[in-house]
Amino acid sequence: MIEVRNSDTLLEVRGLHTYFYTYEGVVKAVNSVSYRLNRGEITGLVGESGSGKSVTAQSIIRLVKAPGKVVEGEVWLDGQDLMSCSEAEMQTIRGRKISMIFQEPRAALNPLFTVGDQISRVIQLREGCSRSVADSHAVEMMRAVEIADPDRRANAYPHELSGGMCQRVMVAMALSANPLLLIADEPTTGLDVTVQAQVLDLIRLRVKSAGSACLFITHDLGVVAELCERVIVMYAGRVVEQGPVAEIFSSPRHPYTQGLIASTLRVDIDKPISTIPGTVPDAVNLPSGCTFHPRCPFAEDLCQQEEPQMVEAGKNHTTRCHIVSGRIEREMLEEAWTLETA
Amino acid sequence: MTYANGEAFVQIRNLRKDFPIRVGMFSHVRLRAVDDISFDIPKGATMGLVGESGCGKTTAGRCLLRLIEPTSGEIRMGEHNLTDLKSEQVSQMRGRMQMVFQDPGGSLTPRMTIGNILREPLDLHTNLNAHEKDQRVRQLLSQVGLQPDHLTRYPHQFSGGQQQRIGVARAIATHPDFIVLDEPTSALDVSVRGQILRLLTQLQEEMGLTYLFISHDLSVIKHTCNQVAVMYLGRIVEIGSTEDIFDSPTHPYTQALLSAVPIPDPAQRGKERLKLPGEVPSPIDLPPGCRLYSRCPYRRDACLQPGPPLLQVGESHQAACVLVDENIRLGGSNTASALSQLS
Repeated sequence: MIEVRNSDTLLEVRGLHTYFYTYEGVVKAVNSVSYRLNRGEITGLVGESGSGKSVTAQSIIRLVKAPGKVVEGEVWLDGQDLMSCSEAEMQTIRGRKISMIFQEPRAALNPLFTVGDQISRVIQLREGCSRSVADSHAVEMMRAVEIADPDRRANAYPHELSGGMCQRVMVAMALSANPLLLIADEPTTGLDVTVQAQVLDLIRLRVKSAGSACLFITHDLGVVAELCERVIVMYAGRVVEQGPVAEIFSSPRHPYTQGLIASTLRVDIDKPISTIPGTVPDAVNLPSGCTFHPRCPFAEDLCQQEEPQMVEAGKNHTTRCHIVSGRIEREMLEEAWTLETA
Repeated sequence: MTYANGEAFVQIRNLRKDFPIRVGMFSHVRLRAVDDISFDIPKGATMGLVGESGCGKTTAGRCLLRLIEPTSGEIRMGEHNLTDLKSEQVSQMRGRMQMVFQDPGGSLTPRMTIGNILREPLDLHTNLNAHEKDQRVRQLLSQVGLQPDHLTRYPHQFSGGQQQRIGVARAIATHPDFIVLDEPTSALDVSVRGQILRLLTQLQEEMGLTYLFISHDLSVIKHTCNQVAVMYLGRIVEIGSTEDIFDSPTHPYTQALLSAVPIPDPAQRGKERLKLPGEVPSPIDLPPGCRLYSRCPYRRDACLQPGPPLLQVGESHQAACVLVDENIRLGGSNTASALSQLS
């Protein structure tokens, strides 16, 4: 967009539209989404359920299930347009250039094979090496993700391991291919906080040492603040704000980002419980204009009539709001979020 | 927030729940899900029960309402001793003690309209006539912020937040005194969570409700509870006022739990953390000593002795750690720093 393209950019998504054709109507799950991911950086993709964050990831690896379809857009990975690749080419990209970690590790692992076998299989496919070489490499990978006693654990089936342990196996499997891009879709949701801390440390360490890029999808702003360099905020299929993590948290410009940060409870600070009024809109009948206007305490007539364009809000920081662009003159007060709502 | 007047309304003494686990054709081992827990909740107050998965917090909450039978121990609510009651007497008491469940969609019958869901507790526990029930159902809807035309709809037609509002309305339908809230906001989006928490606080003030708030989310506990009990593998390891637990956590487990919670502020990245290695061990056939022994960075031989009991740290603050004793002797007020000197 406005940024100058630099050599650090690994993935660039341009004007991505993914629609689902349902009986109720067309769901614009991803609506004109553009962003770029840099090498060695972890980018957080935040949003509530139904905001389109998971579908964005599925679109990148072209695994959107019917009735969903990527309607428009380009996805450039390291100079290659993924949208014009053949399915056979995509097969070689998935798991080698792009790996994915899912929310439910036990559901993503095959219950009929030992975890060592499953990691080894990925390595055999990539390296074309013999099974015994791959097996020992798999044990090394398990050691790298800090699984105690990897020789014995390699012979365990997924049901014999805890959720945290299975997630480590998933991380080992995803990273065994040294992917250029790691997509982690809510990898720690459902894990206990003490285990979450361990898994996050691991992802950070592995991504940094491999120099890969990571797209980290989550609804937890705490995790984003601890882990990510950049943040993309999605609401109802659109990117509403993106920028460096420090700036997004210290001076969020879009009202939705502000509301999201305000309504995040903290263990370290006492503050009144804040909330965003209303609920996430119906995906088939999105509100006109700015999709956030029915819940926005600062909305005016223009917000209902016209959709705001992405504008610059700082260095490498963009947002989609009529107030930021100056079309509406109005102050956005923090107190708006703590007011009682009916 | 409602403040406690000090007098215990709900009293739990030495509550224990064992589950038999089949290991062979004829033999069982014992899984002690809740091990000797005791606490009081004053009238109109909220007690938080916090811990990680498998710590026994949900089992404890269900035992309190006798949805499952406790193995031993005593539960009192007001003047009633719930443990002495026969099951039909418990059913009569159900109108006075209710529960809100974690999964708002799953806890509502999909084939019943909202009107019927809310009318059911009134049919079971009150003598109202049809007209009065109708009025009460309408009143409940407005109390939880829903519209009268929602009455004829089915649960799937509502969002998660609205479904949880219905769950709350059902729980308060019979004017209960005590409600167990089992992870009431865990399945909800951040922006909606605040709405439900506010609703719960508001209803507590209006109706003088006493809550047991079960959650794994410390930030939610901090903002809703007067007192907090931290559980690990069936035992309460630390209990005290919310300020005690959050401002001066004493048990190494509480400290680790608090320091593992991500802070939504990038400026605080890289703060010192007390990390627990490994994972929660299997709850079957646990050794008699401290349950945290296998993961605790401060462990010593004394921890292998049976116990440790809850030791007094402050006026209303207790922790079950042998180091509490040593720390008091050391005269340190900040256990964290005292502990780090010890190790």
